[in-house]
Amino acid sequence: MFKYELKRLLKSRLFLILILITVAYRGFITVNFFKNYNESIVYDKETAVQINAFLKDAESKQSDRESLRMAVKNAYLEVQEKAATDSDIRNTPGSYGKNLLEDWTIVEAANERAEYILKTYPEQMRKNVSQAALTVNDSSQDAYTVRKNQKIIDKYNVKKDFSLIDTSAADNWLVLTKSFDYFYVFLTFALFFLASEAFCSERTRSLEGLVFTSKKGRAKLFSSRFISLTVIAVFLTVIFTAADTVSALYIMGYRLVVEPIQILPDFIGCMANINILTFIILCNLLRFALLLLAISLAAVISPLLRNIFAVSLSGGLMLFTAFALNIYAKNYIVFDASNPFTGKIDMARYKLYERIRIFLPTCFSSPAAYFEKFDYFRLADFPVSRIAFCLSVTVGLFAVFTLFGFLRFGRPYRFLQKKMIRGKRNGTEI
Amino acid sequence: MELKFNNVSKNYGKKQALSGFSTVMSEGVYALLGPNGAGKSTLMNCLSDLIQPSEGNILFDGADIRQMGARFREIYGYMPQSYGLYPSFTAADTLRYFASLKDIKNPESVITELLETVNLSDCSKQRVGGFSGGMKRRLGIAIALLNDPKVLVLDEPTAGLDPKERIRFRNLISEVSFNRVVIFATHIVSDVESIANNVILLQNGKILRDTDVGSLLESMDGKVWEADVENVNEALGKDSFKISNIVKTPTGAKIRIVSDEKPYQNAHLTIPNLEDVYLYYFNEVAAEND
Amino acid sequence: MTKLIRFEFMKVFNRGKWLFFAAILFAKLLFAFLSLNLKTDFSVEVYREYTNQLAGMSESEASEFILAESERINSIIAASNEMEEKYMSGEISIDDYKKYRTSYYDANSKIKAFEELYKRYEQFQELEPKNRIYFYDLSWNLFGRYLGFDFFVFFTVVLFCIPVFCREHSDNVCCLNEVSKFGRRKLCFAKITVCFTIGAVAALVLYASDFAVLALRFGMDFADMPIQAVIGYGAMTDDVTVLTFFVGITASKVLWCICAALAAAAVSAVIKEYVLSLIVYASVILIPLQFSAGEQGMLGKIGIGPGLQGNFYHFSLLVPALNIVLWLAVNYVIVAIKYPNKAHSH
Repeated sequence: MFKYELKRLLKSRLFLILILITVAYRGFITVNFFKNYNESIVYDKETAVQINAFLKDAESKQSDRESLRMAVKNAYLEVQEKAATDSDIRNTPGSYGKNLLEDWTIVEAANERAEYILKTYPEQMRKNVSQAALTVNDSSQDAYTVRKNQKIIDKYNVKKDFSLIDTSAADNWLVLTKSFDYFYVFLTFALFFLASEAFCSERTRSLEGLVFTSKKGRAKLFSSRFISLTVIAVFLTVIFTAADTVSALYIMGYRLVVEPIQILPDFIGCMANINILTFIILCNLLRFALLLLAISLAAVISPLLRNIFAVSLSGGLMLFTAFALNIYAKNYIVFDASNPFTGKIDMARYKLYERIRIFLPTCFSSPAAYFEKFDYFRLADFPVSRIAFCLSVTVGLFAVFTLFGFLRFGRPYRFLQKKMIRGKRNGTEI
Repeated sequence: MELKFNNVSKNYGKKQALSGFSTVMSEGVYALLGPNGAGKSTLMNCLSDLIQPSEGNILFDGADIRQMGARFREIYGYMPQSYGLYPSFTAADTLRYFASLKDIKNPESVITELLETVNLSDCSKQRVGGFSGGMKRRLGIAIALLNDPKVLVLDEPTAGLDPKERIRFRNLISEVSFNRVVIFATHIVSDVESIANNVILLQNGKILRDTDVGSLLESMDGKVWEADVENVNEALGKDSFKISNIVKTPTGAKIRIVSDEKPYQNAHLTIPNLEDVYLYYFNEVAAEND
Repeated sequence: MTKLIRFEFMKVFNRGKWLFFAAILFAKLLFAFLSLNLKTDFSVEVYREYTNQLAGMSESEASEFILAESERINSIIAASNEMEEKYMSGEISIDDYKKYRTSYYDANSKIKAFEELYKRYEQFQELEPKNRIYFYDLSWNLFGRYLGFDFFVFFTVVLFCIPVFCREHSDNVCCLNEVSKFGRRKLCFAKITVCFTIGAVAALVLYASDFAVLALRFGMDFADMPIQAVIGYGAMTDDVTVLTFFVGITASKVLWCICAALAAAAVSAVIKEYVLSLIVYASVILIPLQFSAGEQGMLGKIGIGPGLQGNFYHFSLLVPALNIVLWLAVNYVIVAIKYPNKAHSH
């Protein structure tokens, strides 16, 4: 029965159209990104190679981290001084690049990297840990604060070995990943509509009398239908994880992709011990959880409303409201009409965003926010991870929706039952 | 008035749904009789200009109905085998709606009369969504008759009607068939016997017989028998004749047989009916094609 | 034809479906009330006070006042440490220091609002003198930020226009319609007319509600001022008043909404199934929004989504009007293909 249901889904017009739109949408985003890629990058791959070569050379010459950092910094200051006094930096031959201008680009980027990896990051972690240690030892603090700071120590007191490499390509990669946020919103809706159509198909095609009175019955039908939709969700997740991995490898290169995520300044506060590749996989798994929830939402609404249009609109409205709240809150950096380059944090929106990320599964459409900092909230006297809690809510909702949908699937429509009873009492023909 | 079918054929890929259908119809009731897949609905869809024939054409008073377009639909009434209605409309509203589609001037009197005719006057203000299958069919007949059509086509019109309603309907068709071409497709041979002037037997898209009911029954003279048998199963197992009816008796069973030759010693001829015709023609052709 | 149109409206608004529109309107009003909520990190009263003060002045007087006020505020705030040291060292008396502190608090409370005013002054340097008029513009600025892609209008079109063609197939009535005299082209044109009307009326009512909320919340003062004088709108190319500008943007969006309704009719006429039509239509309208931020190219000229979002650099009624003609033509072509013209056909 599962094979039949899967075949039916894959051959349906709705599925084919959804796949076409999905491919076109994703393709358009990707093509659009790579079309503007050369204009948007700070410097090209050749320069990135030269930066890495400079850093490697510096690393080989220095024995400890501090002297390495100072060596890179001195090289940068030296080139900066030379460039300041030279009137023709494009034609003056350079030591690291073709000319002095290239030298400046190389050492400036190298210095930025060295500063972050050798100073900023370790110092930040030391500061986090030492402040947390003080708080933990302070007997006047409440239980939650002590627990929270203990957790900070546990999470941040871990030595990270970063390679001293250029990470500017990651900025572009982050732009690409963020541009897929709306794509995953679309995918959630798409899977919801596909599932609605699947669960309402008996009603739409007037097959209720035939299907629900047959031997195999409701349980097998429901489960095979649910599993086939899950298979489609799994397939899409695998495909898009692979696509994300390939684009990450292309943009950043293998060497950077296997580095801890904290090598990127945007993720300096990330507590998880993961590399960029694992981050990509985890993000897609969170989105997969959202897709499963969409399927279960369709499973629970369909037997209640029966009419495919009503199911699509009501479920679509629920998803829309949840996504709208997410999108509104996550854009908490508000840009002034008079000065579009400097954004201000709208604190009310920011607080709302921090709250909804605890329980609103639609926040998984842009999962990077869960990895950017020490992401815990207070629950009673315990610090609880936002991602863990939200995932639990998602799984819980999924379980409840699926169970309820299963229990109501193929049962007589209560409203019609009541109408029939009323009709019989009044003596009118139904 | 003349409705002429000239070699009308319809292919769906390799499948020939209708093949060389040619006949001329004038005022009267024509029954299309045939098994499932014979091409009855395809013919009706071609006549309704819902599908285009692969070959041939249909002329009404010498003019191609496809060229006539709306002029033909003005004098055409059709009730398909399966159709839907707007559940939120009342019966009266549904008729008013179709009256506006059919460009009926002063529809109220027509609507009142039709509702009376199909016995839906009491339910005129009821929503169609609450109608039973039979009530919907009666409303469908009313819709088909709204524009007083000269060509009336009904696909399984009495399906879902109770015997009383079926009799009313037959009487209605007989009344309205004056000065009209009425074509109906049905499996209920008693309807054909009661009201059809002509019968067209259709199978695999081809006409088997196109004649009046009397001639058709006459052709079955000497082919319909009744016999008393002891072992019904033995009789059922024989290929040389077809059994159209079995009535159990204390000594065995009384069976009605369709056969060119006398099947049993004790068999005697009886008056044929259209069921015998149906059995005779469609089983015979099926056997030839095997 | 009018009868057909009447019945089509009956089909669309059956069983109290108009209540859904009422609910959407109510939700929109609520949303507008909540969104048109002036929240700034500077004192609105101070800003209003300044603009009231400047309203009576000529352009040169206003510039002089702003520059003088800027110097006054900056010098007071810059002198904070110095005055404290002077007081501590006894150079000035406590009364003088208190006087200074009073002027300091006054300057401090005004500085943020004044900075907003100063931004406006800088914006005005790019404008023609006739447009350099100071007035209280925060409500209009907020209104401009509030206007954008209106999902309520989008929902209305989806809810009422997609079923217009789809329901004939879902209810299986098309075979009865198509054998009637007017059941083909004429019926299709009636449906297209209904979609056109729904798009127009829904947009007019829903967009008008925005203006109603604006009027109730803030009033419509200074509606006759030049739009370039509103903070953030200095780059406008249209030489029109504030009200004309926003009405123009809205009128453009009403026309785009009619396009959206006609597009819904076309999509549902071709696809014939509710869910598929809904998905294709939503994708056609919403996906281009992601790629059209500030887009002035082709996407901005033919994309219905970007059109519904509104072009805040330059509003045009011609572009959406041409798009209406385009979508009417698309609908006509769909009907013509579905029901080819034979001799004497309606």
